[in-house]
Amino acid sequence: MKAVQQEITVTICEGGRPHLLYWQGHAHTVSVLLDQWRFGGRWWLDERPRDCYLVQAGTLVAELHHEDIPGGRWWLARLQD
Amino acid sequence: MAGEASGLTPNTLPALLACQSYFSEGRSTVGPAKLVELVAERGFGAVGLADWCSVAGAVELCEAAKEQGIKAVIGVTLPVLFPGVPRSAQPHEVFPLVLLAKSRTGYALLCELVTEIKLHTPDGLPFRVLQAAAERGQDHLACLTGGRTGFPTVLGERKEIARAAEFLRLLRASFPFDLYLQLGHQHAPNERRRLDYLRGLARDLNLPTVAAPEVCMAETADYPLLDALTCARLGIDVDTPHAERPRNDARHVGTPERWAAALPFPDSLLNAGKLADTCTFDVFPERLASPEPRLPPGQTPQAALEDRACAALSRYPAETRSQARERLTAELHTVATLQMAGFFLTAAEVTDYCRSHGILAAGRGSAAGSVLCYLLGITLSDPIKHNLLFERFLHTGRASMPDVDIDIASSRRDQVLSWVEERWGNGGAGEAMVANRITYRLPSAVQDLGRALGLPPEVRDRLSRALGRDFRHHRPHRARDAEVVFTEVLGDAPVKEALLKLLDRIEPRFVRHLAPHSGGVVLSSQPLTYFSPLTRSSGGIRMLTFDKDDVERLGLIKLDLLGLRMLAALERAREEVLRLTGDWIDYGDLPDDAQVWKRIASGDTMALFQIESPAQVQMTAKLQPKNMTQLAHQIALVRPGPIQSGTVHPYVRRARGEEAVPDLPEPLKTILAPTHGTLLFQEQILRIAVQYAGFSWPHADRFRSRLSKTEDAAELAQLKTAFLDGAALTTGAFPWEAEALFDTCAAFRGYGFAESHAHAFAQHSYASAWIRQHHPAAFLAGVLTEAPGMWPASTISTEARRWGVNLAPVCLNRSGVSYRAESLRTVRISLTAVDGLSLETARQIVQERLTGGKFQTPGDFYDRVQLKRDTLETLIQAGAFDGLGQTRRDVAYALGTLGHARPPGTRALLGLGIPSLELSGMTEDERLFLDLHTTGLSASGRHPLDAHRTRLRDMGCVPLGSLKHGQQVWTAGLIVAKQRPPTAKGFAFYVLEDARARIQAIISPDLWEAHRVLLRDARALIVQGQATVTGQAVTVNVARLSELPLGGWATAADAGGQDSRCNGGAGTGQQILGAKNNMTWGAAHGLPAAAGSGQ
Repeated sequence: MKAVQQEITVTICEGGRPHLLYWQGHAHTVSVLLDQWRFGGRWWLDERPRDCYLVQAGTLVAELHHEDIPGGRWWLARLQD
Repeated sequence: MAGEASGLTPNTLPALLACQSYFSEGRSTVGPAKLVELVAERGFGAVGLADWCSVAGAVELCEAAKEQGIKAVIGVTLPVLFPGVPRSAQPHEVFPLVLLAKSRTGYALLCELVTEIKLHTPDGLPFRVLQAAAERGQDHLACLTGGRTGFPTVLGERKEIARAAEFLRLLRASFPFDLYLQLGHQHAPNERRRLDYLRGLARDLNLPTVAAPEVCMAETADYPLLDALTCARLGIDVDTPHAERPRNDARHVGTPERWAAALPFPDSLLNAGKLADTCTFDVFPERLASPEPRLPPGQTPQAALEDRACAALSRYPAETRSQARERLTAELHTVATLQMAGFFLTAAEVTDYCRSHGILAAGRGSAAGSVLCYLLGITLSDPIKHNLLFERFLHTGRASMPDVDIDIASSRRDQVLSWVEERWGNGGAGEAMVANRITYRLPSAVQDLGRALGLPPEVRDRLSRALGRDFRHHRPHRARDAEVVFTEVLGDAPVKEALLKLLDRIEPRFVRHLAPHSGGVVLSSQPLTYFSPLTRSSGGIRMLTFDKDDVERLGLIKLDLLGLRMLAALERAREEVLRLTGDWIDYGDLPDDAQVWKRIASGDTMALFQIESPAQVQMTAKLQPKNMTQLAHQIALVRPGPIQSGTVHPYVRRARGEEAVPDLPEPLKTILAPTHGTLLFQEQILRIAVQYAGFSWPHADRFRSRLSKTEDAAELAQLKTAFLDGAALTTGAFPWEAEALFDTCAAFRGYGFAESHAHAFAQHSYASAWIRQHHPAAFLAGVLTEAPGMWPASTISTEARRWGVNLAPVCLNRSGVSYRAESLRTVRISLTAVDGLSLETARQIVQERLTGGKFQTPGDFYDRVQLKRDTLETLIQAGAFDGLGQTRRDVAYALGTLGHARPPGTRALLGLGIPSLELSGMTEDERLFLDLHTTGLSASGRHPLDAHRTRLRDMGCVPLGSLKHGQQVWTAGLIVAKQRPPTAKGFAFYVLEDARARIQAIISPDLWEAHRVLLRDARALIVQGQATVTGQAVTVNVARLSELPLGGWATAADAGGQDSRCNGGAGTGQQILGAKNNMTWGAAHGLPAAAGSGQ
């Protein structure tokens, strides 16, 4: 996996899981949710907790993070090399 | 789906079996009671507590669960030493296991296992010990394999699955039908794969799984607090990664549905419910477990008690003997009904031991109302003479255990405790101290959480100190009240807000750790591990893991063996008198001395037990007690209870004859007659409840107890209704009359004395006053050695000059280990008074003097006694060498030179010639400074303010001893005591002292707010206000104030009121350090650098 750490746009399906992610001008539909976990964040720096997803979206295997606040940002944390 | 519809397949988790509370010390953010409340609210049917190596929350859990109507499961998480990999360097590997008790026997086994770890194997429980316990506890324990850090998960992650299976087989052999693979969900990466692996492992070995998440937070918002507490436990800051730190907020209580969704395994969910059902039992016994006294063969405890008490009846004079016999018979009947004879004989055995070893000891508290206790020698005051009530102590309906507190001379309490441990120890299982729950207050929370946030120690210390008297007792969740202090120290740094947010989340009464109770000892005829695990405090004291209330609920009886410094001072004074005069003082039989009462009545009460505080001095001057009853009343009067219930002023006016006692209806008239129609004692509330409201004694006792504790308005209203109804039926009282009386009782609350307790204390007060009157030097030696009161040694020694007793300076050839009366009018300062000189070092000096003769020269001392350089330097500064005919500077120079030649404690083969130097002498103020700096007091008779006298006179300040009643003055004094009691409505009371007098400065809330920092840090004040003089009690209502800068020494008030050298605050520490820097030998006295450093 290589680090990307870039904010992206993600549409979600029912249950809040990622459905479609937009990366480098292309839309990638999430076909498989490989894993899912939660990260507490660096609370002492006022970071919010994040929900993390490892997804198969087309040819991409991507790790997506989502801030756990209403309207929270999505970003692409890592990509499978 | 059919299963779900039919209800056979659960879609909820019925029980949380493996929760942890704050008793896991740094592993949880929630207390047992709050946990139960939340669990019940969210719809779980049962809650299990499996704290890390502790069952300390068991009683609270069971009581709360009973109240909420859910099941409670008692368990524990134990670190177990599993066999290591063959041929590896580590013979063991530690993994946690969760054990749940299925019965009372299982609970006792848990206690034994925890005890084993706490006392013998702190690294973890040896596997063979677990196997042995499991063998004894077949069907009494259930074993869960541990959560995220359990061996199945950890070994699975390490791909050592064969080893995991081997451990499971070993455990299955020990827990044949009670071993479960524990499933939890922490929203970590690969969680689903982990769960699948665990279920596969279970299937392979035919083991059941159980859904038992490791819950340790109430809400998700507690995650930062959990992380910070974990960091504090691990000793790291938040920027340091660690495997034990929580990853996220998943381990909160949640809901049954949420957990079922996270762990969608019907068998596991069903097993959780099944285990909760099988692990429910009642941990509370039906009756108390008394210790067993030594008895003649064939005699029962009750018979032995009756024989001994009846034989002692002859202590009563003939005219009251029949009354005493009647009362004793009734008391013995109550004791027989409650089967508590063994307890009374045990308490008597302890006081017998003290008496036979010359240790001053006396029972206090409600036990002083018992004729039985008086006849057994447990208490010293006669309850019949003082009309004290037995029912406050014990009655047949009493659900809680009686309170027997025995005060023991503090200096010999350890001796008594050692004997008790030997006598009832039962090989280490029959005796232990009760635990005290040390809960977070702002300073301790700031220290722990501040460290986790990476605040340097000096900043944390500064913040703790800055919290001062205003906030240091606040609970952490009230930190926002002290935000101004946080801003003062941390400014607007982001860490301030992070710290405040964490403090906000700490629930009230959050337990930080357990420590031994000040005196509560539990004795039991059966092993204590049946009730509680045993552990050792950091000081090595064996203790239970339950506090006094929990111990009582578990059916154990507690005996309070409390150290009382005043008794130690009296005991020491008695020995001094014996040495000087050959007389032996029997404190139990002191004559009634008019001179003693006259002196007390004048307000001259410095260093007397319980009546030396400024408030008591004022009260003494007003009430002028002339006998023991009046003294007991006065002691009880200056308490929050009487102050809050408005008793004080009517009592004083009526006692002084300034106001008539109102004509009260019966039975109030009789009940309140001894206290001038006011409510002063707890016994009076009991009598009112019985005779006025018609309650039974048990009901009245519950009424008093609940009234004193409840903070719930609904419960208070319920008590009021019962009282009003009872009063209407019993005495025909009108509702408004009964309501007024109830309100007075309610305002009294729990902060008042039992009358019996006040009488017990009055005896010690009189004893201290008597010996001060007749043997002032011996008394001063005792008081200075034991420091029993609120005043610093310097203030007491200044006052002692008025008694005609002078101090002699510390001297290597004359001072002993403790203060010593050299004559009837002189007390020698002890070696241990010198800062930094330990008891062992003082003993070493005295032993060398006794065996090798007096020290002839400083060099002789240097050669014979091996001391550290800084101790030697302090001794020189303190003037300990003055008696050898050389000045302090000469000695410093000489010993500094010797220090270069050879180490201390060794004689030289060749003598070293020390060239003489012309060193200047020291001024009186310099010597005074060094005396105060090194010993906290001075034999010179000078006062720190003497140096400022001229300056103060020029400023128009009147000396404290010259204040006139009603005068508006400017005056100044050294602060020797600071008080700001919660009952004083924001007023603060500072005691100021100069060379001749002490006064109390009353500071209004407005002034306090305006000068908060100054009042916190100042060591001397200049104040302006109106003086009020009542006898020896002088007060100034302060209108204006400012600091009087003194220079380099700290006052006793800064140091906590006891000893100016032992200050805990870095503020005064730094000031001393500053002074030291200014006054180190080299710099201040023009000495060569080598001599300056004492080399």
